[in-house]
Amino acid sequence: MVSRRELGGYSGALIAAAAIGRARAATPPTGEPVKFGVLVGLTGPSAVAGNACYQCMQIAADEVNAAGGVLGRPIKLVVQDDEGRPKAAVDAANLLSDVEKVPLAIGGYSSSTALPAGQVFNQKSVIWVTDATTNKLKTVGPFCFDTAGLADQAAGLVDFVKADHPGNPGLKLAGIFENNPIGQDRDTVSRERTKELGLAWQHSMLYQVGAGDFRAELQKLIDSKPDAILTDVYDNDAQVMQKQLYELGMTDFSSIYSYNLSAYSTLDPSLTNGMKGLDYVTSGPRADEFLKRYVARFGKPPSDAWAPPFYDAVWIAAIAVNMANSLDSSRIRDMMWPSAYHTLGVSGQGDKGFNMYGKQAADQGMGQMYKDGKYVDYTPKSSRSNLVVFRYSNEEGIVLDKAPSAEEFKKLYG
Amino acid sequence: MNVAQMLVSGLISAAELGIIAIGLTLTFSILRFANFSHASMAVVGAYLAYFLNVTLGAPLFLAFIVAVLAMGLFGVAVDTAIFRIMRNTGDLTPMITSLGLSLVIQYSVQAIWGPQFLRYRYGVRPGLSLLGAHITAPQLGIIVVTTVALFAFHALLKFTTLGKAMRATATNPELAQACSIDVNTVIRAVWFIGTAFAGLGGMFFAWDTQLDPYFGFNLIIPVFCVVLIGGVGSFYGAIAGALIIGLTENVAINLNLASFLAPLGLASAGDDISLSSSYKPAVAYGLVVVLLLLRPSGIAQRELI
Repeated sequence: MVSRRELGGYSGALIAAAAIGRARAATPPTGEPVKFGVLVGLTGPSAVAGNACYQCMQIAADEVNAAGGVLGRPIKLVVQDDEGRPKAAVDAANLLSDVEKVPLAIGGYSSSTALPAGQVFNQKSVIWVTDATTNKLKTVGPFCFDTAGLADQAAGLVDFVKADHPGNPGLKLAGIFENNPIGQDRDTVSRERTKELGLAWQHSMLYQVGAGDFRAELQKLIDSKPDAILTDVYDNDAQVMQKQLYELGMTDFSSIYSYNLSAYSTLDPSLTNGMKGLDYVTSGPRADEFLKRYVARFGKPPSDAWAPPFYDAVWIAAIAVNMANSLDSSRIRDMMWPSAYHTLGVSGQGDKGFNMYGKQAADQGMGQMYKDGKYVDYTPKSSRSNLVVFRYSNEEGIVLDKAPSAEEFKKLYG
Repeated sequence: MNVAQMLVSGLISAAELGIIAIGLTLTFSILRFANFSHASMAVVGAYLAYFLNVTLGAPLFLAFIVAVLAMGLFGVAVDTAIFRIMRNTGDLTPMITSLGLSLVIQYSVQAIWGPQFLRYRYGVRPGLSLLGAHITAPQLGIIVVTTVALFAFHALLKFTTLGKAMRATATNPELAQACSIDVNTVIRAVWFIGTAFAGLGGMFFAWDTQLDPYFGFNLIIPVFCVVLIGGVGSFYGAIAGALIIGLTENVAINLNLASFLAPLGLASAGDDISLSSSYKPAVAYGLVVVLLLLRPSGIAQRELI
């Protein structure tokens, strides 16, 4: 097995081709396609992001097929729309498992759909690869994987805010979070980290996704008089809230820090000037190539920073199938760890290795800012770099190159 | 606690809900069934205005006027094509049909315009400062236009022949018919006005926030709450219901009970004893339960006026 360090000098395509066991000029795959289930919100409150996620998967699927496919066969994405609703996600997961009989499924941008779908897939021993970020994904089971960091990593934004306010030990923070599993996780993590850093947490605004009118909640947030506001708002809610904050008299947005700054990218600059935060980056070794292909095919970059991890998910899954040399989901599952260990992805900084839970051992964000209508890198006042890395300080921060043993699975999941 | 802002935000919510709820209660008063497609009519009106304003480039106010009139005609067409046939089938059949119609409308809108959120061609403006509250020109316009519309409708009901015919039909349709009132004309007028109001409410909501295929679904329960609190079929009741729901939603989570408990020695003046914002949706529905327990028929009697 080639070591991680040795792989560092190779291009991604060659790594993939080598793992698939074919020459660079791959023989076209033939035969009945291998189905990869896809479960995302193509409609519903996260439809813009969901469609971007699916587009990233399509690019990866085409590349996998161009590199020889899996087991000599092409892969076919079998798509189901979770509509952003947990019930629809569960129904779709059952359909993919029982009717389409997929060995693995990829998707679940939103934690509120990824979690229930993951529970269904895990019960049926179908591998589920998501980039949702609720910490509760750690409890789903051994068939659940994640190609983006969990809510635990949200603590990085609190550190970022503190670093941007040097000499203010009494910094008062407030947060805006979705009233769903991931939002509640981030609220908890943010408050705990705030306390650890000796800062003050003033107010948590937990809002109903897609509600449309947030004036009452925003007024309460403003009245709590925080020095900085951490926002975990996505898609269209981000745009409505920003507009309503502006209408409620807020004109200086330099006190707002976002976990997902690119969600505000389509807003008028007067509504974002000064906003800072972290953005999930697409800066792995093959990121430029991936972005060029994406733009060539779809006309513009991915509309959501969390879509590219799904590109990596398809590649990791495809390589795992070939390493398993089987469509048995348990064997594929056991190969997910070495596959991710040796895959240089495009999302984050490319390192997609899994820890014992099948989740990311570390995750990265880049400090950014909206300045005079431009989206620029931003380094906090007392930092030397705008790169924020969160790695678990315990055994969860260790990347595994092979699957946990049966005993270890039992210890983790009972 | 910014009381002025709470009141202003409450009035804006009340205006948006109220204009839609008036149409719903009007439909119920004459046609005697709960029209679940009513909130979807708000969505259609909003998208029609979007088509006129953004796709065809019409000025926003002209787009609104044309869309309101078009929605009125659309309501008449829907009644002619669908609900007229169910006139004598009781209230369950048209209610279920209206539920199906609302889903057809939602998914059709989504198929035509896509799931992404859209906005009218109207820039974002800062709020005007008014007695400690911030209100934008569009929001002020929404309150003013809604008020004018309600007064106009009151005048129609009180002083015109059509209005009297509508009141008579609402009170006793058989007797109204026996008195040579053309009930079919009244019904067409009800659909025209009710759907036009729904469309106008949808346009206001979309103008104030943004436009998406699902906002009708988000509005249907608050609108029904307004109608239930006000008294099903009551015009003035719907106004009162809208004010209650709109103000309660904005006041309840901002009200700091410490300022009331502190003089009693039960809290300190600097404490924050208020509802978490995550309870905001529950407040309105909790209020519906409480008010209906106290007054099951709603605030007003079941009369149109």
